Amino acid sequence: MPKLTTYAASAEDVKTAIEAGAKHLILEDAKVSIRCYSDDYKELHFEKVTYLANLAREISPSIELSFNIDVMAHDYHLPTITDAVNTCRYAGISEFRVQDPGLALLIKTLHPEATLTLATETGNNNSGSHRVFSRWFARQMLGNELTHTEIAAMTQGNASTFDIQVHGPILIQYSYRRYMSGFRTSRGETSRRLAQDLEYPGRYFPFFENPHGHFMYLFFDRCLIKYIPLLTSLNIGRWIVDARGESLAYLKTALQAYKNALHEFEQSPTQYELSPKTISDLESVGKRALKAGFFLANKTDSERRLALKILQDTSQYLGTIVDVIRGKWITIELERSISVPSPVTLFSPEGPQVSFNIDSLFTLTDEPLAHSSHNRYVKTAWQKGAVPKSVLLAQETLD
Amino acid sequence: MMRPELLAPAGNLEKLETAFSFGADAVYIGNWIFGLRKFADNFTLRQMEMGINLANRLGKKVYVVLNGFAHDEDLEALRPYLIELNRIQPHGFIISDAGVASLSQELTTVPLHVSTQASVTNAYDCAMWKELGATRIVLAREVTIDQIREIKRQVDIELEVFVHGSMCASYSGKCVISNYTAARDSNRGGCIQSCRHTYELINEENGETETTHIMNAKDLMTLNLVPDLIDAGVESFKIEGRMKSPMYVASVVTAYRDAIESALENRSPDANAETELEKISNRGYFTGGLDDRPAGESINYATNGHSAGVKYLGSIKSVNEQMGSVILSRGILSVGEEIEIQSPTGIYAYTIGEMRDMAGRSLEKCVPSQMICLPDLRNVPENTILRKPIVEVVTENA
Ligand code: SF4
Repeated sequence: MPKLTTYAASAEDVKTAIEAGAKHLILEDAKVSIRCYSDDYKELHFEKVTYLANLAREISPSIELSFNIDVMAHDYHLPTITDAVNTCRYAGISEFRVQDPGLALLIKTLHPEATLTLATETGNNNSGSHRVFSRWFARQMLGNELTHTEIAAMTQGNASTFDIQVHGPILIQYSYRRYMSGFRTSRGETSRRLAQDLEYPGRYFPFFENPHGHFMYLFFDRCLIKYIPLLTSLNIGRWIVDARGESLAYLKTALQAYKNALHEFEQSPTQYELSPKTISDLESVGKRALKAGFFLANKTDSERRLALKILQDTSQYLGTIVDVIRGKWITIELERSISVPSPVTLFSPEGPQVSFNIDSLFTLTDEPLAHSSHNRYVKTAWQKGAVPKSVLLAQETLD
Repeated sequence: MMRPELLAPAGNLEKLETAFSFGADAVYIGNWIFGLRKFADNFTLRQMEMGINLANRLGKKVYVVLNGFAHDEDLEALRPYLIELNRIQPHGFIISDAGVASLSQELTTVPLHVSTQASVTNAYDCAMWKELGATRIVLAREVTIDQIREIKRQVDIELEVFVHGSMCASYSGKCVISNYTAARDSNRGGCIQSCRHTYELINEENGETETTHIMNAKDLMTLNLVPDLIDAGVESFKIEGRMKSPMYVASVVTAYRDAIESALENRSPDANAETELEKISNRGYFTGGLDDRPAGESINYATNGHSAGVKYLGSIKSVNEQMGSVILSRGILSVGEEIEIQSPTGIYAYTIGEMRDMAGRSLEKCVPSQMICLPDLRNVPENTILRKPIVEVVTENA
């Protein structure tokens, strides 16, 4: 049974989340939780976290708590992080989430019993990387770029030590630079705008800026409510509803939707059907469209990478055409030596492939060659279809 | 003072040779599969082997970039490739993904350098990667020189720092805009540079709008910081730009070679170096995050274009008695035209006297991507650059 999990940075967040069904709260303080929308910068220490932890346990003694330190740590952050870890330790919080993997070493020094979750946002999308990081991290966050088939294959159907974002805004860029405050110096420490990329009109990206930097979110929110049976089959330990920067109604509605859907599915897996009202409720509290993102399929660059792989895998690459004089010569920059005659295939960047025989070869100074020998550039008779940058492949595998 | 390595980008063999001719100690190159750059600007295995052999002959180094963030399917594709790479023994792998790093450790004996894509910003990250076998860290571009000193004090590991070139607006590796907007994986070679686009910003509270290039980072240039970087203990000075022209490679390598040598010899650097860097295509320069946290001055809000004061016309591919210089042209050259010859010994004026095509016919003019020869241009080495001064232009990107 997955644990419904969400972020909480205020008393209202804590109360709403627990009432709506959260079983695990990731507490936040804006000084070290970079995507936190509460204004904690003026408070020197982390008393708020102690207060929120006590409040949460008062409402629900069984609630699980962790603390989010997802800052990309520069030297000047280290005393603040140390303060946060020490405060959490006294508040009985011993689980920490980090984005910057090296912080595991610092936190373990400060709090040897701490358990750690790695939530890198990007770049931890394969089983090899998961294996490496499991040396320091008890749990890891599954990247939003992973499909359900990848998750199933990577975790062999048991993802209990993983977290997944099931709902909420998708972060697509994090910068240390504060673009908006740089543009208009009068803007405050935090600001929010909607940004329309004029090359993709109609898509509105939420921008958020705070002392940690700039955050760009996607024009739609991630929503996996339609895939409860599939999600459940992956046995992922925690389902995260991310409502940071959204209203309390968003937080409440989203948590309740997943709680109810999960409950109904578990009661009767074969009869389960998502009610259309659940979707309309979710839509009514959000500002953006709701989509599954890459959870169902991720075809980014598949065609381009396949074409490159074909070229890479071939052991027949001879060279590239660098110059063409129509009706007379083509000049080839050779990667491998060739002899005449040689059957070759030409892949033009402008069109289909052409097969022909190289029956003659010449040096740049027009001396005939039987074999290209050490010449890097050779000329041969003009061939229809040849244009500069065409790739030449031998028709037989070369040594 | 320790002599740092000058590390140049090489998108292909021509650029690799250019970088070495103009004074680079090492180059980094990519492959078609997994190098975060496009097809045209990568090496085949065979070309890599040729580049590594050349470097070994010259006492220089070649590092292979494998800095995409992998999915499991990529790891599978990498296995045979890593075995092949181990055979040709580059001098290092530049890797950002822990899974790729671990696979490279398992299958090869090639030293592991951690890419800037891993966004390493502190000594704890360095210590963790060292534990995983890394011998060098390419620090995040957000780290200041003071922070570099501190990292160096705490961890015994080689540090590499970007000193020149284009900047990713985000923490490297922390951007997936292209994945969602263009179905191209930013972290597997598909970034479409959305941060250079024009954005309309809407204030939802009052409806006000502003249109600007809000994330368009200027280029990094740190000639003046070279002495401080050497003093901070940086082992390798890295130049960005595998997709840029041989002229860019030649100009930037020349400028930083001089800056390093003059710092080591405690003399003033070439007063002209900065002007030369201003001439190659750039988006406006700033000192990155090395001085301090970059703010508004690091963004070119007004335009996403480039300005340039010279145009690249081609490189000399070979020189022989019969033909003079053989050139693969990258622009239009005309007989009688005054151009510049940029060689490792300096920049010289030259007027094109005679031009022939590969069939030996006399030409008045050539077109881009045409092989030509200049019979009266003889006493120049291969990889010399032909270029033409132009009135400074600003080109808006499409
Ligand atoms: S879109 Fe810009 S910020 Fe994003 S990866 Fe590409 S260069 Fe970096």
